[in-house]
Amino acid sequence: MKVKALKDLHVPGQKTIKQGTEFDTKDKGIKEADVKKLKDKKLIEEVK
Amino acid sequence: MLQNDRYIGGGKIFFTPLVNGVQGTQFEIGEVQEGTLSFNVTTADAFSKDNVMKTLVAKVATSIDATLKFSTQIRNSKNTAMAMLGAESTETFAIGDTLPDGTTAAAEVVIPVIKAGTNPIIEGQVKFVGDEDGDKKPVLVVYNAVLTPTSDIAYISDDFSQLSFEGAVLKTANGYADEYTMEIA
Repeated sequence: MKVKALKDLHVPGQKTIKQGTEFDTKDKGIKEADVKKLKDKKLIEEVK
Repeated sequence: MLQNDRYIGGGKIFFTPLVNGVQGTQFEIGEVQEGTLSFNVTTADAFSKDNVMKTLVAKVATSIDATLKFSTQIRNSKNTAMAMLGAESTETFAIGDTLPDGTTAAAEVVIPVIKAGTNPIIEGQVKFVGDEDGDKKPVLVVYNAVLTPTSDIAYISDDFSQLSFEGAVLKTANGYADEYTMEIA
């Protein structure tokens, strides 16, 4: 899923995803269940 | 091969912590740059004053103590914890938690942490194992030493970071220390 970071995010073992950066959650190795949590906590938003 | 008996160019120092009387797991301190052991004896002198010129007639040892010093160039979590008088631990952060660097966890993160100042006494066995480039390999075992960090912990520096320690050698049932000499050739 393509999303936009709404805060500076840290994925274990990777460099910081800066706020405003658009990225693919699969490329960053973020699990589906975690994507939902991140959306619910308004840390990412889906980019269409 | 080096043939000089007095030249010990290098080796490794290992430390086995002793916590509340329980021996922990031995680990390598990390690329040691220099290490020394020194013994000091305090004596009492007895003089005869039968004549104007007093004369030393007896000398006895009243105490003996030993000091150990070493510094290491490579920093790892174990020797850094020693330098900070701390203990190694980990902290778990859930999704959405603010991490120590100010970023937000995008997954569950487990981060190693050193809790500084939680272990003010660093006590344990110190073992020096000399390298095998000479024809003899010295092995020094200091059975119990209480170490104190003596260097700054550099975070921003032009030079390689070094951690230095100094310690009092305690006498044990095995004595202060034993130096073994192993033949290599």
